[in-house]
Amino acid sequence: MWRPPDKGRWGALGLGLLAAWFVLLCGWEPFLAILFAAAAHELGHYLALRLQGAAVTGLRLSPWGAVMDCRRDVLSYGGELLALLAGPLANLALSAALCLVPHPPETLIGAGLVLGGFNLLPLRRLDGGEALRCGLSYFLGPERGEAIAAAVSRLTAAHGAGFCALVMLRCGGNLFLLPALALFLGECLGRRRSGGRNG
Amino acid sequence: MAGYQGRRTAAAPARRSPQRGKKAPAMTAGEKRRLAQLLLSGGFFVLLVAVKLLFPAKMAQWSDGISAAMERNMDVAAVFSSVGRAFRGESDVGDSLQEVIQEVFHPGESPAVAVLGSQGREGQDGGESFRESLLTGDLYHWMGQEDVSAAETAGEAVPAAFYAREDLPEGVRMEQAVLGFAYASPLPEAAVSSEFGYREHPVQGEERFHYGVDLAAESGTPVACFADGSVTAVGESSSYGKYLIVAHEGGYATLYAHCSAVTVSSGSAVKRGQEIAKVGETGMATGPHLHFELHEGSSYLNPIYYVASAG
Repeated sequence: MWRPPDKGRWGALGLGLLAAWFVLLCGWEPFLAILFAAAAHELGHYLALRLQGAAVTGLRLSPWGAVMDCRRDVLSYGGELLALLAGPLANLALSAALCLVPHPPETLIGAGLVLGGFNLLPLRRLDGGEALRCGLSYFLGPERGEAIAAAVSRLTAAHGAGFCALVMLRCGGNLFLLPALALFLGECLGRRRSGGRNG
Repeated sequence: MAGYQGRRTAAAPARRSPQRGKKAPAMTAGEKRRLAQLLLSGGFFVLLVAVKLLFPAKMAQWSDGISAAMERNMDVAAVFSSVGRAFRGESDVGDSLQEVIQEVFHPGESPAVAVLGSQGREGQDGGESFRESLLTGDLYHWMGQEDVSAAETAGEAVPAAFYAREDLPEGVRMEQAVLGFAYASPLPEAAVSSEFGYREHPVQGEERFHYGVDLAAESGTPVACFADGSVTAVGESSSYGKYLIVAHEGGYATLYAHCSAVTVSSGSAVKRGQEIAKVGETGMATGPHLHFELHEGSSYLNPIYYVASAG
């Protein structure tokens, strides 16, 4: 009997379609800048994990970007926090390094900062949200930390959706934000994920 | 690599292969949901095709509206560049933030035109707060065009802009308009050091649109009023420096920027050829020159036709 493809392939397909939509509306230059920044971002995560002895078991693609699979339970809370923040820190470091080259590529510098800053949003699917969960779990315990982080994530997602809608309505365009609006709404209205350090 | 090994004892029967006639295992909840999503998407597609066939004119109208909305996008690369410049310290964080806000909420639009558009043919006053914001120059902090001429020393010849671009920014018109009134070049003896149109930034290497012309002259050279009119704005901004705007008949207006001094006050009536300012290099300029813009309502016109052969 025919069955729909599994979720992993849908995620990669979804990311591909989002990328195509973005390139269609905004062009190749910003897309390649974001790709470059994303590569640096993931490299930061990878190095932080490997330096702590955590094995990276895979890299999945989703509409929210790349997700690095690893065993979290080998990391301490501090180690996990460091691994989560390593991505944005890598963006910051690379942007700072690019400032030193002759004719600094300002588009790449800005793309890295924007991507790193976006990942620090307290959304459960992003580094910022996971870092918040990690920190709260350390001080309040996993259950309470999880619950508070999830609530903050929903609130952030609601604001994100509102911002996207505001931008599109105010300027009568910027339709490349439509998928972002859908993702924020999905995060806001979606089921509570069971995460944690063994996920 | 270890895989899962199912434990089997001598007493445990081997799994029976499915017998003929029996149903295959039912779908899981997740599979059902994904199937429902696929059917919903397919149904939506069929509905769109049906509407297209039954109401072609309405669909054409919606299509045009959607196409227009798809064309109107922020310049994401410019946003990244603004952030990059602020990070490098090349521009003020506040200025960069306003550039980003301008690009996000008004893509492809110049704040000067957005400001003047509300005046346009309806008269001078679009509201006190509007005039005040003009005078404080807050809106003009959004301007990013002047960094093109800022990198050039006044008096140096620069490559001519390419006028025949099909993808002109919104509100830009390249064709010469008949103004309907007498006019004069603000600097009759000056050479055009930077033309109207797209150009590659000599330092950043990025393409930006220059919404006026730059006329090279020594600091302190008197700037003449383009035509009869009234001064609607006098201000100072980090980009334009000291500037003024004069409204003329027929909904036209002219802007004079980077002045060392403005010699008329807002609201005063001015005549063609009357001294209204002095050439300077205030704002984002590396050499003394006059940045001159010509507006018709919310549109930018190419001033080259009017400063090269004033009549």
